[in-house]
Amino acid sequence: MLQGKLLEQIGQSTSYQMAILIIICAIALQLVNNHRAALLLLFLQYVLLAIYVGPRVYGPLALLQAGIGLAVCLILLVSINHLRKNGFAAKQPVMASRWLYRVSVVIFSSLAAYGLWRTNILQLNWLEGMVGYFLVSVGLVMAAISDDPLRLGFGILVSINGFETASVFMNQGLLVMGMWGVIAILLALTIAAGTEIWLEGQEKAVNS
Amino acid sequence: MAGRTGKGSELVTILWLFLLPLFGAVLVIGVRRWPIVVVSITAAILLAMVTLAAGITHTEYSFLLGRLIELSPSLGSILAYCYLLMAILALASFRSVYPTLNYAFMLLFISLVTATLATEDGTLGALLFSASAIVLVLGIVSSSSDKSLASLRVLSVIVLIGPLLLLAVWALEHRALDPNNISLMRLGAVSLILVIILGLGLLPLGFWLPSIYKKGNPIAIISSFILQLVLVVRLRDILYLNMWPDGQAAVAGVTVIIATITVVGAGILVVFQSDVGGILAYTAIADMGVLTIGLCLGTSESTQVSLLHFAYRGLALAGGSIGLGIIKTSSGSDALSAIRGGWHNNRLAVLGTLMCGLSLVGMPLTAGFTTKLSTLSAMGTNRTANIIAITAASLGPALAWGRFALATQGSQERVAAPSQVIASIFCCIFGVVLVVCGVYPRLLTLIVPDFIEKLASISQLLLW
Repeated sequence: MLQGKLLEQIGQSTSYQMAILIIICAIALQLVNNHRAALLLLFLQYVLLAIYVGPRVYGPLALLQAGIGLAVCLILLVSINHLRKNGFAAKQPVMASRWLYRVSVVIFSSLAAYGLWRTNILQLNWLEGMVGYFLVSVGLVMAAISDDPLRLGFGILVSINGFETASVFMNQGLLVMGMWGVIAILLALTIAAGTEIWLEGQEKAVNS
Repeated sequence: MAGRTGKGSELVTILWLFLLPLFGAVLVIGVRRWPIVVVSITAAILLAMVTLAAGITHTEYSFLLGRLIELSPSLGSILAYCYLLMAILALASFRSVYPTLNYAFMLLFISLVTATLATEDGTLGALLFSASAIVLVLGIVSSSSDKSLASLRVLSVIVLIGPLLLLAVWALEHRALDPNNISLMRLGAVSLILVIILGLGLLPLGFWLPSIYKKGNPIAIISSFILQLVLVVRLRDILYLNMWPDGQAAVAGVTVIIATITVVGAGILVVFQSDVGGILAYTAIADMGVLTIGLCLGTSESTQVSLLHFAYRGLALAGGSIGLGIIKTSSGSDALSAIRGGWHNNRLAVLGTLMCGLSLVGMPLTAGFTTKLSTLSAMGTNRTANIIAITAASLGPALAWGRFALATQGSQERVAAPSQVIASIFCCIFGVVLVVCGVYPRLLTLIVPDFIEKLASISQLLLW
């Protein structure tokens, strides 16, 4: 009985740690300028989310989620490489004013997440709600203010991760989780295609 | 489950409708180097699907991984109509220049739309709807250049519709278990209204639609029309099954106000458009406002009129978008200043586009007029201010289409472009059909003797 209680406590503390790590990951994703670092953080977020929801769903589904994250990141990596090859990667150092702007964006999206968490419209427990609402608001703000196709795409993917996490706590069906995976892959393909088309447009504009 | 039948052979029809376009998409990717083969395969698959969907005579259902999937004859008719529009678009693009991958995405979209309509489960339906919307954007992205991130901005808006639909389904299902929970009731209603505004492209959040229309790709324009039709059918399930007493009236009341603002707002914005894509987009948004009002009235007569309006809207958008594509290709741009001489260079396309545009506006002697007039009549005398505002707002789109007609006059050298005779003929046919249906509305009952009964039966799927 003591052993069971101990395991439960360990499981709970793992959940806390995972939730905090997921949130730190999302904040870092908003702050970093480098696309590759952002992609690494996105992949890390997928892995952490898989570990986080793992105990609540059928085991292999968590692995599937991490696998989908890997596929999404590989698709986006191709676009990042194309951007770098064509000189559109964010190489220049970030100015202090830009940092200030990004930090204020993080504060703004955190406040939005806090508002959602306080109202708890989805009636999730406080930890589940914190992760879900934070990812949704951070992702939406990031998508809304980005002027770079990949950062916009990262924002959409982060917000979808938030919706997925919240939805998984309400419906753990195999088909539903599979559909979230399909949506993530389709999104990654669309973002990659959108980035390529944007790059083509930029090159045309530069040449003309 | 009364009135439903389910046999092994019937499940095959549903699966064919889902799998056939999926296999088609893979095949099209395989033969993408030969555009004529791609167009032929796409059109053949879509025509086969029209036959299959129209041939459904009784409700067919089965279970897939524990989820109920169902296709009624009414749903079959709606799907057959969507497939037919897509098949005609594919045939019209026989000598056109759309990228071949576009056809693969078109088939994938059709497959997902079929699954969205066939699934009875609200959660799965919302996710399938989301996937269909993403494939629609994927199709747009693959077919045009975009240096302003417009496609990805559309994606960031459109991707929200699915989760919001999911939220509405969840809140209203849980409210049914806990009828006194006011917060769930509010959450369900607010999510539903947001889904209606975003999904149907109503103002102020419907600005994703012009981005699609301005690309001038008929496949994307009709895909967005189909997506709206699918959303209306899915919303019917939620509004009909999950709402609390008076809930439908509350949502409908708010939606009517938003739809009236949309008609007036789009009617003003269309005047400031300087390209054909923008004129078509804002005319379509204003028309969607009228259609939404018809749906919100909630009587069986207004719903029947709305269904007919939807059908005419599909024809007008198909013809208008084909015409827009032709004008854009032959003039090098769809800006009003660039299409001078369009009437001399391509009379059929200009005439067809104009007739389709005027039907969307609801001008007399077009099909759109008959349904718009019926909707306004159904609004009754207690909404006189709305009726006056909507009628006055029609002036904006009418003026814009007048500017389009004037802009095509004069003469200018034609830009070297592939011949688009087949597309022009299809565009003109759509326009003529809309005028004939407007001049002689009884024609439909002469062609299909039990038209009124069929309309009444299918309109049940749209009864909000």
